[in-house]
Amino acid sequence: MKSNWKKYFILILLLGFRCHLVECQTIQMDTWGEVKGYVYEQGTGFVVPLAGVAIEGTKQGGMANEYGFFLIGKIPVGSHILVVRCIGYEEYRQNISIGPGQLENVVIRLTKRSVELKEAVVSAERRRWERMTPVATQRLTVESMSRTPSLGVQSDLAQVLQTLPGVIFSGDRGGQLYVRGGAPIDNKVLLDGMTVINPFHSIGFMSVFDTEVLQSVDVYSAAYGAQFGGRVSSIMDLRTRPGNRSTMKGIASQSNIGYGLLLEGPLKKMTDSTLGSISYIFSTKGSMLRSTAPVLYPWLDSLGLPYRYNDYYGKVSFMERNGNLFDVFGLHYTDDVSYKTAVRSSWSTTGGGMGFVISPTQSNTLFVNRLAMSRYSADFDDPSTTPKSTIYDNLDMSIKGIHMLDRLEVTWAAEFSAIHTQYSYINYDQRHLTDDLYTSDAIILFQAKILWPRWILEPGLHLRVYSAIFNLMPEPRIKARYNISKNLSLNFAAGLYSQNLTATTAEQDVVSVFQGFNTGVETVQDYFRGRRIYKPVQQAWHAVAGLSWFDQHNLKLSVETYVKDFYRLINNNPHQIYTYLGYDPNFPEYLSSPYIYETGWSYGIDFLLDYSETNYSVWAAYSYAYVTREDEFMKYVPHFDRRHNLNLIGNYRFGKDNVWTVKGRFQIGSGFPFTQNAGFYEEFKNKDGTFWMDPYGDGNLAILYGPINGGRLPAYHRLDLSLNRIWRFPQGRQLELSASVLNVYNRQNVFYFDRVTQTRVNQLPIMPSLGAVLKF
Amino acid sequence: MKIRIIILTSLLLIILLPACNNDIALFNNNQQKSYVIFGLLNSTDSLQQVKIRMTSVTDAPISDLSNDSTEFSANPNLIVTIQEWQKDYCAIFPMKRTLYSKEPGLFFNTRNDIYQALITPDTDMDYKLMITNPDNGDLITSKIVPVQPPKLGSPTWPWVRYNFSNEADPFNIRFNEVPRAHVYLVQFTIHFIEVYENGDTIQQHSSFVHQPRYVDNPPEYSPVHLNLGSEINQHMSKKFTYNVFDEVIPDRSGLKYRQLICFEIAVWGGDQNLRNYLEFGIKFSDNRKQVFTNIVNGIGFFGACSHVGCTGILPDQDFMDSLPLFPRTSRLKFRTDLYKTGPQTKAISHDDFLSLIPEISNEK
Repeated sequence: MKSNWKKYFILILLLGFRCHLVECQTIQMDTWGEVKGYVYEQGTGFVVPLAGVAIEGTKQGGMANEYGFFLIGKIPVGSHILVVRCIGYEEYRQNISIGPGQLENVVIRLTKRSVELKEAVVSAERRRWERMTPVATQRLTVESMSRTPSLGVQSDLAQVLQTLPGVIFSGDRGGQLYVRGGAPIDNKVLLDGMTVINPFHSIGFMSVFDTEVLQSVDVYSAAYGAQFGGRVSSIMDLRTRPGNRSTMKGIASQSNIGYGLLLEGPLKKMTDSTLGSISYIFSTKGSMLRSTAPVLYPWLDSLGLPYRYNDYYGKVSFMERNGNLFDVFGLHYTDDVSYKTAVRSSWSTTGGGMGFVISPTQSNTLFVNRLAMSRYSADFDDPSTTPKSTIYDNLDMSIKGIHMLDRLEVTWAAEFSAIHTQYSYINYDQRHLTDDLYTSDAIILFQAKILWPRWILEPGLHLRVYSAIFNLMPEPRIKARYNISKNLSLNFAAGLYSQNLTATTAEQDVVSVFQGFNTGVETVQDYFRGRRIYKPVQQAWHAVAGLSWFDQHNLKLSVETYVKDFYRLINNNPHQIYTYLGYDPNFPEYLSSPYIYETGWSYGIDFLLDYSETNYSVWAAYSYAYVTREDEFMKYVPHFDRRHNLNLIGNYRFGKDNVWTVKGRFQIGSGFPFTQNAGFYEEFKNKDGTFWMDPYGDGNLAILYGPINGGRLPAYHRLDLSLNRIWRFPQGRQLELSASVLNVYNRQNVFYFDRVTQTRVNQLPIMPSLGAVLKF
Repeated sequence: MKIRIIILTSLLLIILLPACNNDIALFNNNQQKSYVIFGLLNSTDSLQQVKIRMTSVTDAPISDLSNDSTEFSANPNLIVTIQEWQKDYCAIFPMKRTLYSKEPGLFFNTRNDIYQALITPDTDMDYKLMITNPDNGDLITSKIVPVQPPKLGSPTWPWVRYNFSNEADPFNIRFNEVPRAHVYLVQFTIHFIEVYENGDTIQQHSSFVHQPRYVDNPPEYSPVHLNLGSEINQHMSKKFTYNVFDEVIPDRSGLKYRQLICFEIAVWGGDQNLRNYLEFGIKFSDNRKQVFTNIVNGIGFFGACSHVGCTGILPDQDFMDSLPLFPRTSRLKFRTDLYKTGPQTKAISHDDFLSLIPEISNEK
């Protein structure tokens, strides 16, 4: 192991030194110079990614990245005109003078052109598509999310994610998201670099995020690149935008589901003459369901909608006059469910962090540094079981460098995560059991992006050290794109992934309003199928291949086939029937260790059609998937193994100035697996609590279960519709009224079924809602 | 064009029509009934009982199923025996089916088949439960070894006052681990009389059972002598004993006063099967969990247990005086004097127990 360490360390040093060498050589050329800078939007100060930047009269040019940063090298010494073009913005021209070996710094502010916003969005999307490897990745923006009908007024990320290919959602009431065969714990959600451990509220159609605060959401459903790690299934990378730097703005919304308020504006204004500015953005939203549901939806079953949540998010952004950014943010999310059966669950997330986007004056590297901390704590109280609580503390630090050359972009990063997990419960024996663990991960990663006329190649290496097992996990990743034609590309991605976080919730829990967290599991089996396991870390490899079409008419088609080999997972041991006393070769470990290893496969094929016109859009996503899990004891399909899933979304604008919008979403999915009964029987009854069998005693009812998930529930389908009307006023003010109906034809989709009483409780019935949004 | 429309419509119908079905198949169509066996071989008792049931695989609410007297019943012609083995020696004890009445509850209306035999297990022997269904040849078995009774260290002397009031040195139940016992229970029983306003006097008892104590490595069994393991202590402080009174003795209307007769303690030992069943067998809410069973061709469990006890334990006068004063026990209306000191009361004896079962007592 020591020699491995040395090898990797030398490799890292060499790669880092090589990057530095390239940097120095470029700057020291006598006949060339460079120009770098940022592209922002005039007025708001928002980043303008993917703007084309060129030196007029030369072949030198480049494109601004996600941070609006660009770098053009090898510019002949002399005076030049810098031209910046981006669809939706006026062309920008600036005289620059390049000296020998000089690195010129510029900050560009593009003025928005009065064109159709949608056109600009689509075109920007197409530009992005041309520069990326479009495989197992979906980007969501505020505009794209608004195409989905929503309960309430504003679209919510949780409702939009359900429509993505490969994403399975287990229900409106406490349901969870499963991405291409991965459990919720296998999916990492990052908000500006901070790990958000529970991004969805107990009522399944609401996330903790305010859509209007989000700049972009990238969903990597499989085979993600080296820039991410720590999860064996998928990543959701959310970035927030800064507040408006020149004008005070606000959004107030109210519906029978909930309310929301967003305020943003300058603390120090950005003017035409100076860039240096400070802005803020603050957002809050909350639910009103607990009070409105009994009045407005009297036909709801006895379960009702006893959900309450409140979310707060705030951010202050500083922009230097040379375009560098610094921001500080904080958040507080709370959630509470209180059923009439006295089951109560509540959780909260509190966190904050800061970030820098800096390119030092004499450096052609962009540094993106992040520091974030958060605490998630949850309590669960069910009179039929025992109280439980969990805490997940997280500290994330990262230093990332992005170096851009003509056809090459190199990203390197050093990251550190410290995690504290605590899980506490009282077992059936009234013994108070706790699990309190501290662990940390150190990560070094490299990713390159090489652009050729027909190829894009993105090799990467993610090196992760888990302190709990003190082991280096080298995880190679690769993405490749081959342009068959201008509109059609063949794409491929693969990689190796690891994770040490486990959830105490067993995968078979369909409705899970509580999950505890655990890291560095020490009470897992030492041997799995006769082989000694030295690295008790969950691991998987992914491969995805697909075709992607994006033409000039905004028609996007893609077909992707994927496979995920979860060759080592760690789960609660449902088979434990003996006390764990450590490894004993004469004793079946899988019947005694509290945690066990599992393996699993997930594979399938996804089809996507996405078409947008000026006044209408269509989205159709179909997934065909298989998911299996296998432990030492049995092979089974997990409860989220939905074979077929189809989502259709339509959006039509009409009326003068397209002020009316009608939206519809239809989803149909084949039935989830469930475990059938193998029999009811009467339990043993002892006398006065002793070992004496009471022959007269009336024993409790017990259930003998059949093969796990051997049966299938009925199919799920639902239609949601909404109608919106917008009134536009001067100075960008706008009022939007929305009427929506969830589950239009009142389909009775199963939520749960009580085996004993044969009582069936369904998902949400038909639910109309009304709301208004005022933008000022 | 028409053909395309027909094909598309047909495809849509193929997809959507099965989706109209909204019924849940709770049981697999081919699901068979299973034998459910519960039995404990008590090496300190001569009456051994085994409860035999069947699972119900009918897709109906449990309230309907439990009203059918035979839904959970096994074939009444089952041949049930206990075989006593020592190397090649085997003695067979047939068990007789007896219909017991049932306490009120969910299964009150179901037939209550208990198979029983008079046999005092010998700890040097192995015991095998054999159940044969003569109608279809089903054979259900289970094999166990008996457990030796725990060795009680204290209290051992009846009709002696023990000090419950000394907080520094509280009343202590001490016993030693014995071979094959992996779980222990301590039972504390309060014997008292209740005198009512109308003059009725009723002798009562209420029991409290402490949490099970699990033992991972009991002493080795030796046929020659009794190997004792570590000593286990169960303290009963004054306050703890008050709480036991409060928890196990109910309020009664028309009660004039109560008078304490004595305490009784019993220590139970159980084998590994019983421990596994207690620890892991009764958590049936997890549908992936393996239900613990040591029954071949059935479910349930067949275990071994034993017990030892001491009755006639008397508290000190200080304890008696404070009982009506302590806030949580004052409602119980205990007098400060004992009912009678002396061996007037005893725990339910084996003979008393047998007298409740006509068939057995007749045989005897």
